[in-house]
Amino acid sequence: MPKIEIHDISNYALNRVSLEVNDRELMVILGPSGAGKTTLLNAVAGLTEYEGSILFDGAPVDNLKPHERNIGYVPQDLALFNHLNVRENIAFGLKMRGLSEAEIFERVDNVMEMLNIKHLADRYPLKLSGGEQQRVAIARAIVLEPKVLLMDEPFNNLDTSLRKRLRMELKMLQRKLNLTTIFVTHDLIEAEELADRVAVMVKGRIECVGTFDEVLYNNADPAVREVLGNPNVLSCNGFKLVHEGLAEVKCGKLRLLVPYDGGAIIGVSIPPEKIVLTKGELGFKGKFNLFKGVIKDVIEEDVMYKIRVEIEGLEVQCLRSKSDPQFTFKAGESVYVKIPIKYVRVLTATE
Amino acid sequence: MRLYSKYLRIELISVATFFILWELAGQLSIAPKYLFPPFSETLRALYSLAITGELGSNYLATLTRVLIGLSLGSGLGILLGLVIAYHELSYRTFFPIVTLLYAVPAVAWIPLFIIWIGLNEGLPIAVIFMCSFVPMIYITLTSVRSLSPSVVRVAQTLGAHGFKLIFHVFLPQALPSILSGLKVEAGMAWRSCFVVEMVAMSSGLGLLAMEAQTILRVDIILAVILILAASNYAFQMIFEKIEVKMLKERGYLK
Repeated sequence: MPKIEIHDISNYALNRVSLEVNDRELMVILGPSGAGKTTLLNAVAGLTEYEGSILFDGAPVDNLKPHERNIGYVPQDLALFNHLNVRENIAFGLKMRGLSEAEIFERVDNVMEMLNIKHLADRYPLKLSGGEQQRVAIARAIVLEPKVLLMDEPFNNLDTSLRKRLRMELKMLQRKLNLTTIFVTHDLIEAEELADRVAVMVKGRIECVGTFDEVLYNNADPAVREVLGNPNVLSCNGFKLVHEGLAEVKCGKLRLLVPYDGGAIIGVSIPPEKIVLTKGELGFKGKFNLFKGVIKDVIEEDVMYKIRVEIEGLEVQCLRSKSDPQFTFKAGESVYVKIPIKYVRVLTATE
Repeated sequence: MRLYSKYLRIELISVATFFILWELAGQLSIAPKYLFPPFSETLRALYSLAITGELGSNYLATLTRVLIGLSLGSGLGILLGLVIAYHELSYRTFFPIVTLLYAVPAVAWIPLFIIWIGLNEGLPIAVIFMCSFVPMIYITLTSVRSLSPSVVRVAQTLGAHGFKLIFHVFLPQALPSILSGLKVEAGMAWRSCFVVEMVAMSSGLGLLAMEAQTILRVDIILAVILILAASNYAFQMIFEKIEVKMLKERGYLK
């Protein structure tokens, strides 16, 4: 079973990149555009030149041509063959390998069934919707039964709900087929939902590797923080233990209850999507911190609202999905800010 | 895209108006009729050429030259273009030369080919060959090189390389651009053939026009020009039909 080892890879866009992807693992490479994510993927696929070495299952593949590496590849623009219909697109790799017509037909049929696209067999790619094109591209990549699946921001041009559905389908497929997968994206939500582990890539280098939570919350490296785009990292000027596993930290005038398991707390990070805003005070104080705050502004982004709120002289950022019908907040409004204790990550001096 | 139902009528009216104005101008005798015959007399001249068999034999000669020259030139041009585009080193080597030759009009080869080949059937075919060969290399090269790199990459991971890549990916993907190039070059083939026949051949539409000039038969010259224009148009329509059919099938056109 394939484990991918990338040893010290360098080229025009990569600077001594090393990374290990375990067998059957879904590794997400997260980073801003221009970080070298696609180039790294192309190197693993054998589509670009590099120095260093890549091993599949301990055997170097550096001298193997792309089709000899037994990989499935889904590029950002999907690159479906517009001159072939869906069936012919999926059959392309099998045909290149010279399989018999009957076997090609059967294997293509199986994969189309698996991805629920059998009814599209005779359609041409340009006549398909974005989600359908997506499935065809994945079908074309897995019909050769590769051991390694490489995906380069494949869900980029799709709407939010479709992306979510496709992510779930991909995850299930990856488990079912035992595919060791490298998935490139710049989208945090995508990384969180898909990744077994995440590698953060900045300027041709891998800056850190770990589970999504480890990378997102326990990393104080400013370059990584910038990629992850979590602005709510507050430095603390004191803390005290209030209970077993619970501490109160002081960040300026703000007092915040946080989970505690030892060490000297120097800061906290609050994931913006976990902060809840309400207009009325909720009747109880449960396992969360409650503050009164004022909305400074509401910024509309792709699929989210970015809301900046001032509490106790500090500024925090919250994210809300645009599809939330209850969202009615405006700048200047007073709101209650709820920060669940369990989602606050502490940064301790040792890190 | 052509909206046939709507625009076909306008196109017909436009062509008909042109012929009617021609007829009127001829009938009004602004110039003597032997210098500017009306459309009807041109048609009459065409008819008499046809029944004597003169038109048939000469048209056949021209058509044969165009077909042979165009299919040899464009066939080899496309093939060579595909192979050169595949191989980076040969692309770098040949592209500047092809670009230089592309700028040379086909008829510029006539004096040279008269010396090299002589006044025989080889001459018009060689000129037509040159007028489709070089442009088709150029057009094929540029269309293959402008294919999406990720399409080529995916094809490579799926096992397409060498001739498999050329014939299963390059050619079908570049075919729409190649066809629109062929449409233009087919027109060039008719024009160049006409010129060669005017200056150096003893048969063909070009010869008919030159002979008519020596006996001052403007109606015959115009009739020959009409035939040339119609043939050219027919060729272009054939390539356009294939192109549109292909683009519709692939979903580029509705």
